[in-house]
Amino acid sequence: MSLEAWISRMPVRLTKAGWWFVVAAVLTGISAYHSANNVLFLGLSFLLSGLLLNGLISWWNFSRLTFSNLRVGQSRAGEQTGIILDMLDLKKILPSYGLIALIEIVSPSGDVRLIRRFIRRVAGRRFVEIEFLWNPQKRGIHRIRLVRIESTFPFGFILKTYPMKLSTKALVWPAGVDVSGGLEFPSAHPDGLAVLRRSAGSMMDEIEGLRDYRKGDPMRHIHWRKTARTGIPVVKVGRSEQGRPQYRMAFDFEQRHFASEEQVDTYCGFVGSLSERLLEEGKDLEMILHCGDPLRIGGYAAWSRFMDELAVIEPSEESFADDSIRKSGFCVVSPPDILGRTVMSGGIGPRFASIASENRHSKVIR
Amino acid sequence: MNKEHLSDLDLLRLRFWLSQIVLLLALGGLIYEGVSRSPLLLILTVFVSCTVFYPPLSGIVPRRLAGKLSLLLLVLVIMDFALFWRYSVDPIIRMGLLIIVMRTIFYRTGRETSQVLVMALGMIMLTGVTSVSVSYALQLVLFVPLAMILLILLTVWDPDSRDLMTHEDWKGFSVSAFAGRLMRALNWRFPTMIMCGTLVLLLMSTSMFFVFPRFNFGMGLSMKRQTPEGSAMVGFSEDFSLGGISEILDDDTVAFRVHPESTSSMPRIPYWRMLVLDRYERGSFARSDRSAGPLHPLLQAGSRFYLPHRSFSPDFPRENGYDWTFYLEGSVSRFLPYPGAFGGLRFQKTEDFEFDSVFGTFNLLKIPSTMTVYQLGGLHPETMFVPSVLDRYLISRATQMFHPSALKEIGSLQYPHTTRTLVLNDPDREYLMSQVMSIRREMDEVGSNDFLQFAVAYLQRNHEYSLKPPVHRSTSSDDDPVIDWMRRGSSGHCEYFAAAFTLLSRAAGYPCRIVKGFLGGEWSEYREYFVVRNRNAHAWCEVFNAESGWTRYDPTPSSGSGWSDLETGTGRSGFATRWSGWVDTVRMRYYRYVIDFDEQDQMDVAMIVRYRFSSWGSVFEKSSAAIARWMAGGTGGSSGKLQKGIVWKGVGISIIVFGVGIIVFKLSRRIIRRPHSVRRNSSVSRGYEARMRWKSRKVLRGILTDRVDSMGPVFSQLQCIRFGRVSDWPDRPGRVIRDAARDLRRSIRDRRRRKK
Repeated sequence: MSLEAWISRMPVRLTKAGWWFVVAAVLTGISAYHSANNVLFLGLSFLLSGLLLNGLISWWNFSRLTFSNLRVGQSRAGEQTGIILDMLDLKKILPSYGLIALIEIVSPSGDVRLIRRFIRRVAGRRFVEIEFLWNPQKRGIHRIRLVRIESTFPFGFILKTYPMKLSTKALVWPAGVDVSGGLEFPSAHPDGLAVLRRSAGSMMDEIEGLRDYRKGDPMRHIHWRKTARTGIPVVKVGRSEQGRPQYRMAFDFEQRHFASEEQVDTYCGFVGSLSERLLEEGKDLEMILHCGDPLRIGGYAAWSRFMDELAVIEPSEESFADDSIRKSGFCVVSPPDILGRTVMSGGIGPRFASIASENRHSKVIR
Repeated sequence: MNKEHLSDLDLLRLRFWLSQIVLLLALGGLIYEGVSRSPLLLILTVFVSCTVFYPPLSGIVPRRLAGKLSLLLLVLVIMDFALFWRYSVDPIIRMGLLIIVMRTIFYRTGRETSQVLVMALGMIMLTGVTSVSVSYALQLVLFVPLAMILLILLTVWDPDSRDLMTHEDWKGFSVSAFAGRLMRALNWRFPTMIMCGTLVLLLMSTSMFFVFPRFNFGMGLSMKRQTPEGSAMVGFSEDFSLGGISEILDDDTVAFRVHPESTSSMPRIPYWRMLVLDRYERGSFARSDRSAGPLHPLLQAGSRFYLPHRSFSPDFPRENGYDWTFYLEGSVSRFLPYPGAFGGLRFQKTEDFEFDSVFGTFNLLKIPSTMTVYQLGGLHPETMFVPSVLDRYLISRATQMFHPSALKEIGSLQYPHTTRTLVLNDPDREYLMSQVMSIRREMDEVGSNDFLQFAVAYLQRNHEYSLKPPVHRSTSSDDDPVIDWMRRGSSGHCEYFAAAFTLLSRAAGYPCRIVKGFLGGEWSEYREYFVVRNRNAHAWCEVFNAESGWTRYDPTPSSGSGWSDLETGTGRSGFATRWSGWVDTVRMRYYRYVIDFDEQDQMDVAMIVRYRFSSWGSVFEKSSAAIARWMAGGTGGSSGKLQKGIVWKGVGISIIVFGVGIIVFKLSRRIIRRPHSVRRNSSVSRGYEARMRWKSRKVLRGILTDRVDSMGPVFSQLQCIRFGRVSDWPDRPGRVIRDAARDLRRSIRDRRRRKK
């Protein structure tokens, strides 16, 4: 271990100002001993006491602080999200000041990023949630670790570090791709690519759960009683009813289609955005990711599961069973169609192809 | 009550404002103590004062010029050091001032603010080192809390946020409104923390100051203010002309302090003898050079000195005197004041000094620039040292009068003949002799033979006391100014009276010399010491008498009023309010316990501490032994009564301590709880609430200690019960706590099983 690394791991170390302070104290001490001047001895004792008091208050500032429950909100590549850390200050009299929490995020590709969050004051006997803003750049599983809490409080001469071991994992969905421009799907077209089923039943015959309102949710899905009680708009998430217009799509993830990792991400982003868009439009979906089982997406809970799969999916060496899937009534979407290199295989239409081509890279929301 | 919160801008403003106050404190100290008379200092102080009330003034120079100005500053500093390197302190002060200028004409970042703080501390320390004044301690005491707040403001500032102010930030700023907002936002916790921090810092630094091992490597850094050699306070050099002492008679500063053993040992009218002048010529007094003569001054170097036996009469009780400690201020004189004969002299540290057994004076070789502390042992106030062997030549009463033309002959005269010579022209001599004859006639009329008393009465009858005697020009350069003063019957102060008395005595055949020193002083009941100020400077005469040696005569009227009392303010000058007495006490203690603190004092402090601890230890041992015996049944008799007494005392003290502890605990609980007081829910009793909070605390602690992760929702409920309002509690808090405790136990058990 290098000296620098060893010093950086020390729980208490002098800051730059602290080193200057020590130099000043040493010079004062030398002057005091060379001149036997008590005024200088007095100055020296003040300087050293300041350093000592800094350590004491710093220790007190960290005492009875508890950190727990590191968690991440739903996150999507390219969109800002929050990492929440619970902090409990059990001190009775004095607050804690000037804390800096450091979070280390390791992306699926192994990139390490540190996020700092400065907390100016936490009152004694208070529970607070510390929020770190994070903008994930890649889909996949990110490892998030609270590395340490540090502070230079009160005088800035000493950096006291409190190593932490809290960690969690965050599943980052693929980045959103703008698929809103002119995407028009045949809503009742029985041929070819999409199979339409109709039902006279209600839109939501069975409630799967509740979730926060998102832009685009139909008003009829709002759970008014819960919304009134909590003050936060909440919508009902229901199991998709029979008879809704159903789009059956299969996405090809064969390795040979992708030249780079970015292409995989873009393709995943397109698949996610497309499914989200269709879901927002009230469409009932049935999706197949490469050779997996068909996943019926009738509501947001199922769509979340679909996105979770999409977040971690990797290109497969296994060849895509194109014909058999087509025969079972699925529209097959291949990466070349989306990445704009070849003509669409299924014939959703040239418009779709052009939009997909435009959205290849640049429209990924960052 | 909802407190107002300070915004980021308010914090930036407060940081700037405080740093300006700290700068003013440091610069004010430099000016007050006269450490520097640089015009730059005055201009900078005025500028900083203006920025306190009009902060936008601070950013008058754009920051883009900072680099060029820094270069200019560097050149200036190098030139200053190159040209004035001999005066080490002045270039350092100027460098500090220039850096402060650089940091004041621009808006400052946080790092630059901390530089300003360091510079201010440096200036304060420089003031303390060069002035050796108690104001240094006061400056430090004021600096500490201000610096603490400033440093805290710097550390609670987000390093990633904007750190530099602009003119825009000061728009609409008013000091009064800002101060009001600060007061509204002030929480009792913060001032308490600052106060406690300051106290702890002062205590720690005091302790460190006392325990620092004191070694003097003796390299002698020239940090002290240089006092030119031989320039003592006016009137206390080895020679002076008439009127010299009058310059300091209006000076109210302290010359020295005396710590006597008791007030009873203090004479009613103390005469503090310092300097003896034997030569007189045309209004000028001088001291004979005795370095080459017999019984030349005894040069000593050390911290203790015992006077030789020849200085005392055989019946002088050397061992039974008093021990008085003197604190002589710097730059007063190199001669040490004392009120009477004494057996030994002890300095606080090793000093080079001389003892002149002929004049009975003690002097350091150099005029001290700082306070000199010494102790006289075996002191007998109002007692004189015995005359030296040289004084036996004074037994004959022949007076030698010289005409000014015979000055060369006078110059060759040595002590003690100098104490009876007169250098007067013929008319002055005739006038003086006529006055002597006049006094003798008065004596004959009443049948007395005490010429000296009659001479005193004669002078006091014909002249009035005045601090500002009228100035007369002599008609001839040979005229003696004292004879002229006698002829005119003018008013005068002690020097005139003493000089005239000297002339009359010598004309009458009495060997006479002038003594300079101090008369009287003020007694401080507050700390039981005697203060002698410069305005107490005095001159009197000593006349040689074959039987009793040198006897004091003070011809100055109103010199017998005695010393005054600091507390009651009955002194002549009206000094003496309680406050000034207290300040003076602080100053003396500062000199005594800080400036002059050395290895010996360290040992003394250590011994005192050891003694205290040992005495407490013995008390504890006695008490515990008594309790043990009492528990064992006691031994009866008087010792048994004694033991019971101790036991009952112990029980009583324990009850009192316990009661006070409970009261303090309750009060502290109330104080602590006040800001968190919650609205009471009438359905929940206070006891139930307390019980639930206490139980939830236990479970929460368990969860946190054992790091149980699977209790997320329960954790927040428990937190709500522990810290939240009663109205927000879950419906059945007892059940929540019970279930949580059960889950906690279960998870701990599971974990142990897994480990096994």
